[in-house]
Amino acid sequence: MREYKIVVLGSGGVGKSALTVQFVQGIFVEKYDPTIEDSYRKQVEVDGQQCMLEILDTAGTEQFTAMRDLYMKNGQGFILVYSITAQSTFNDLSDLREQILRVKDTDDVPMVLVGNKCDLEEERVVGKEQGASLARAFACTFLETSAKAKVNVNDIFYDLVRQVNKKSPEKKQKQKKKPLCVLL
Amino acid sequence: MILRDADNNELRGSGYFLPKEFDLVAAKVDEIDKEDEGEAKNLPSRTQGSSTPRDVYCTVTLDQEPIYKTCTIERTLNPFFGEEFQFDIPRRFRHLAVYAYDRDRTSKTDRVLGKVTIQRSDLHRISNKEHWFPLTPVTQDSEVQGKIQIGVLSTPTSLMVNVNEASGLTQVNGQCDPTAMVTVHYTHNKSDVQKSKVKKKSHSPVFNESFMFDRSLGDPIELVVSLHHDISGLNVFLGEVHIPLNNKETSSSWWYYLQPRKRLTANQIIQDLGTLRIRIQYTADHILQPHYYEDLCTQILNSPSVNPVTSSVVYLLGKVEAIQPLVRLLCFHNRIVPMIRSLAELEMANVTNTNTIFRGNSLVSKMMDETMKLTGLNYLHETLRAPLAKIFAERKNCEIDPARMKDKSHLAGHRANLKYYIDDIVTCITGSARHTPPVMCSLFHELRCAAARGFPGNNDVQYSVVSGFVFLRFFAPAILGPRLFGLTTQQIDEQTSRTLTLISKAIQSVCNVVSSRTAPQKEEYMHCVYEVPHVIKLKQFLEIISANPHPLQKSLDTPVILKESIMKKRAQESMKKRAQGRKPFGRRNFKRRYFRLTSSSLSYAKDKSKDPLCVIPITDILSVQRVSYESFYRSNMFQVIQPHRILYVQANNCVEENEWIHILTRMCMNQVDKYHPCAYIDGVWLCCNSTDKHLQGCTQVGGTRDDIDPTRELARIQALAYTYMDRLDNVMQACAIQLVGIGLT
Ligand SMILES: Nc1nc2c(ncn2[C@@H]2O[C@H](COP(=O)(O)OP(=O)(O)OP(=O)(O)O)[C@@H](O)[C@H]2O)c(=O)[nH]1
Ligand SMILES: [Mg+2]
Repeated sequence: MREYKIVVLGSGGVGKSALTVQFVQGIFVEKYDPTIEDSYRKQVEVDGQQCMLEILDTAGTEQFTAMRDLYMKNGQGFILVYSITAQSTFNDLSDLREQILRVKDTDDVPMVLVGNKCDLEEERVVGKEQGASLARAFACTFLETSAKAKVNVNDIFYDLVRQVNKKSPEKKQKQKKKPLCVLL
Repeated sequence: MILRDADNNELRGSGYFLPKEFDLVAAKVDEIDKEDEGEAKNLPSRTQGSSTPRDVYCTVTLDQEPIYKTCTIERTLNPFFGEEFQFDIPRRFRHLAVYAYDRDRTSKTDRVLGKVTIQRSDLHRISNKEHWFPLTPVTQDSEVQGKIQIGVLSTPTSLMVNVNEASGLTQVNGQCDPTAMVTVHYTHNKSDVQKSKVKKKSHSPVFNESFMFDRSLGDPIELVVSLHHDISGLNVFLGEVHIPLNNKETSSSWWYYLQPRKRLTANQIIQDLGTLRIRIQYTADHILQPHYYEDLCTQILNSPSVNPVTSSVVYLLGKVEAIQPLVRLLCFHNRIVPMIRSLAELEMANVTNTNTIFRGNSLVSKMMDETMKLTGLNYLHETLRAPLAKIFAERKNCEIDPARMKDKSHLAGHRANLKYYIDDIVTCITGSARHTPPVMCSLFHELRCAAARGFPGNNDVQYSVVSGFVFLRFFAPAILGPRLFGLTTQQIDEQTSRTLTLISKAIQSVCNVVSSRTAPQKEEYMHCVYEVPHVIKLKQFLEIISANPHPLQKSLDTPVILKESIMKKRAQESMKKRAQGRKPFGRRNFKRRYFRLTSSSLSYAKDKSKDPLCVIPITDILSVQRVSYESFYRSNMFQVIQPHRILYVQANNCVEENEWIHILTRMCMNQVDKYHPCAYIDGVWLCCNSTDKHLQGCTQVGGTRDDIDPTRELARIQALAYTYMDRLDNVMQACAIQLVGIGLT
């Protein structure tokens, strides 16, 4: 089974963990528990293919950002999350994307832009059009989600899997398995 | 960086300038990448076409002096370092370089893979941005530093070349015996070479030699002066300068930077040695006289009482990355607590969901973070040093994620290991309440009160605001990355690193239970580490450190370790007793020792685990001063002046020397007015030529610098304000306030 290393990034409190836990365990985490570094595995079927997703839920807290480089180096697909109720979380993402491209040293990295907490329409400060136009600038997919109301949660992960498939089709993986000694 | 004053005049030439320039560099060395088989074959000692992984580490050097070394990343061609190093540059320099090495397991000499050299003048341009730099080859011919002063005198019949002096030459294994080769190239491929005398033991030799060249050989077209270090028949190239000669020219003496050797580059292959990703933050402060900043200072210090706080200068400057100097200045003047109180009130007033209070990277959270780092570092070390040392030494496996385990039967054992470490750290942290620095306690108290006022019905917020700082942003990051906080300098292996991650996660989530009162829900495998007694203990800890006045606060009864490192020292010689039958010490007698400075004494021992050989109480340290190179022909030397003797110590590099002098000066009595900048060698003080060993110093002690230099911080704030002028303009329009006092209008 093919494995996909997915990394969830974004500022503190935007709902990275809520989205991940909703996707993996099907529950909504109401109480806030800031993340340091969590990892989950989930097997899903995408387009008739069994996939093992290895999801790394990262810290939005600035004091842990030293670790980001390493996550980016190891990740294959990235979910960039902001909250539609906080402008600054939206503004932070451009730098984050730039960092990913620099670490990967390429312009073509599987990526999804996510505007979370879309159930809080009355607190919205980032318009849907703003998100869409940032996604155009990033040349990536864009979705508004709600971890609470289960809106578009699965879709972001599935979309990312498809992007990874498209970028590096399966056969390349088989080649890689050849050497006996694999470095982790 | 060019400073401009109100009338847009450059300040450089205006006479306001103090010769007080300081550079700060934070280099973040990240990774080497893109080495594949094809490239490996260009490297000498590995077999053709092999892709054998290497053990790679990097060093950061100022000119040729190494000042930092990363961990070694084993068996890889794509090492990732992720390290950060911040330091004050104590001297002028031309190049900052990062060298990559391949560690050799068998022989002692590691092989250099290549280097990235950045000129000082380019640092501003690349500062703050990450870049991939190609590695360039390192050869004897390219490792050049220093400068040379040369004059040329031209007459109709001859050419006279004066080689006056050179300075800052490369040292080869700590030695430098330079000699100059003077070559004149004439038309028709003729040339003539003359050699200077050898200057022993000097990286800044004074030659003062003249060389005559005859014009009968032809018209001179180029002068080449090269420097060499001659040791036991081995000739080491130290650099050269090429000066074109136009026949009539007569020049007075000029300084020239020495250059790498110009080789016949025809057969030179351009090798791909890989690339290195580096991020550098470089700040050069140009500091004016203090009165220039008076208005700015007043405005900053008044900011806590400005209403609304959004129209205060601090709020405004917070928008332009000036947090660090602002916090340092406010701490220096004891205004940090009211400032953060005022900003916290503002932020709380705008909170809609108490869950995410202070979760963004707001001005308050950035200032809190900076203040905790500034005032709490010793406390952090004192609290975590022992439990971390235990973890590094025992290296018990703590992996409890079944997905990361091969053999799941070890699960119970690993769980027990993890719990044991968590227990230990919780005990150390909760036991440290009485040592929490007063400034931190006052801040926690303010945050807690503000939460109580802002959210009367919700007690939980009072805990989450405090734990969100002291745990999430202070203890947890330090446990996760102890190297970043100077808690250890040793390399952390993968398994230990995972242990630290698990502990950090556990502590954070237990602490979160205090305020959320629900057991952790996220990763299933982590649920088992959660224990009710820990929650109770941590809750008490949060209460104690945020109470006012702090009930347990006590002055420290155990000395805190402030600094330690391995340096060389010379045998100490008493000034009081006459040397009993012994010859006075010469320049030898240097030994490697482990030095430790605590809040009460300076001591040294054979190594870290041994008892000290000598303990100097802080009260016996009268002064700490540099020692000139000539005393021992060693650089980076400083002296610890005591009532009846002097301890001479050689630090490993200029940055470390500066840090030791700095912290010792801050601790010590500063009781002498005069000192000897050189040592007493073979019966004479080299500085003043006096033979009286007991003679009081000959040179006036300079002014001491405090840890925080308010003028320097102000200069930095102002420079940032200039740099981000356009951003400030926007904010000002939004706030509709005037910036009269900052001198920016
Ligand atoms: N209304 C609403 N609340 C949400 C949603 N997603 C997350 N939240 C809440 O927002 C808070 C923060 O969510 P987390 O998922 O923990 O945030 P995070 O991005 O993981 O934060 P860090 O781990 O600190 O980086 C929690 O209280 C969640 O309950 C959502 O879609 N709608
Ligand atoms: Mg999270």
